[in-house]
Amino acid sequence: MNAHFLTDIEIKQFKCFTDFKASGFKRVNLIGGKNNIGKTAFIEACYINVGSVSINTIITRIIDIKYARESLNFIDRIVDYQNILDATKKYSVKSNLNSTSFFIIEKDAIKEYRFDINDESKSVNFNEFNIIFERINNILLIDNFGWTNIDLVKAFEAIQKQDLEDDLNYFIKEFDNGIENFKVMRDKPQCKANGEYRDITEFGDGLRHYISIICALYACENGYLFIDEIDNGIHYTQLDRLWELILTLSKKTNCQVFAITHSKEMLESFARVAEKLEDQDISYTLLVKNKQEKIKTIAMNYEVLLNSLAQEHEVRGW
Amino acid sequence: MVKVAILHEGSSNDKTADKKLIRSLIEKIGLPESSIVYYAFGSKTEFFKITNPNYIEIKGYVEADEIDKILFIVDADHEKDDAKYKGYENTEKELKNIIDELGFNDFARFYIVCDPVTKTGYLESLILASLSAEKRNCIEHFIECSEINPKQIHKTIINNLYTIAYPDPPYNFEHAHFDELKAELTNLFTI
Repeated sequence: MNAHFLTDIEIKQFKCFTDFKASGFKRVNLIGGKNNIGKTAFIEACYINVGSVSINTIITRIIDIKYARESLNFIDRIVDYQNILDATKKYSVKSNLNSTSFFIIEKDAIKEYRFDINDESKSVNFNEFNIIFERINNILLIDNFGWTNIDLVKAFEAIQKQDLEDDLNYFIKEFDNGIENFKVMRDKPQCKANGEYRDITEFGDGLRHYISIICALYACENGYLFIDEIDNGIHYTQLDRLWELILTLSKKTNCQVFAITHSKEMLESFARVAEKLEDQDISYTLLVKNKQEKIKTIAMNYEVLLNSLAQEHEVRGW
Repeated sequence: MVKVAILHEGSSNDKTADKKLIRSLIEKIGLPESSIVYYAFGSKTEFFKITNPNYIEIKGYVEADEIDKILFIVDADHEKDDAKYKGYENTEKELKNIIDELGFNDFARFYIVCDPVTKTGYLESLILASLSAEKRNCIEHFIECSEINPKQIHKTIINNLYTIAYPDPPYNFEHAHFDELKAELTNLFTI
């Protein structure tokens, strides 16, 4: 286990979570659970926690996740980032890495933002508040809607810096042998097919998602990659190859991966490939609600997951 | 709805009679199959290993209220084998210990499977005990003459012989020998 990996997390308060604990995370972690159980909120909580090393970074992350969820609502509008931040009233998460919290205090006609990051605490008056975006390049989130061109181009830089374009093109050809090359031209990701470069937006969402994941794994060297709806647009015949890439590249780049799925095929593929590669550094975390409607986890390591799937346990379907 | 885990010996397929018989009996009684998840432990000694992956999974489900009740169905075996887990009384004692160690006391029960008359043997012995003496003796003589060992092969051979000899209906669930197991299974679904 690498020292920078997130292994345990306690979400005291954030969105649908209160006094929630999860543990047993490994290098590659798959998160499952029924609709609206809080899977996305869970990886958002992790995403904020692992990368909050200063007030600027915690603010950036809280705004980024809210912006990602609401981006479609912001089209043709001037974005008020402070307003976005205000929508997240409370965030209090402690992990084996960081203790992080953010609260808005409104009392006696005074509004303050309160931040606690490990041993550092600070309150900032609403009128003095100034948002300074500060991102950490090796901690990335691929949200449900997929990456924008800007996100993809930025992650692709990591491949360019390491002269690994040929590797990427090889992986892309495995996915679709009709794609001859991938390049960024005029700040736009483009794929060459039938001798002609076209914007990646003209190809299927699955291809874009697949390329995003590979680029992100290189970009997140010694960091973290969070992927919402990992199987978005990916054909079931490609699932094993996708996991092979994630397991091998994450090991190579020392990147901890958290991915969400609803799909049983994805879970089975994950376990099958981990077994084939003899990679035991994996976990599966199932989020469920108990009788008191509190969110709980069922954590499975490599051995438990393989045993459970071999016996076709179907408790998930209650 | 009550959610139930049944822990049994043998495999998750029908290689041995364990799961097949339990499922057939559940169907016969009319219990809700969809509320049951089966955990196959393979050999008996696996029941007594607290680190068994089945236990790790079950504990997670119990803590999340995804499993309400648990029934262990374990063979008695023969005490003459002089091993820690062999024989009715040893099995009973060790099952109580592991249930206690797992913290399952409040919602777990066990049923030790054997020939109800001699209190020895396996689930297959219970099946044979439900046959007429004439039919039972035929199979028992064959087993005795063939000197089959070890236990898993023994269980499989009995199961195969029985399945070939009495395919329809496969089990005599009307026999009183099955009453106790029926009661344990029914009890799982009482609140």
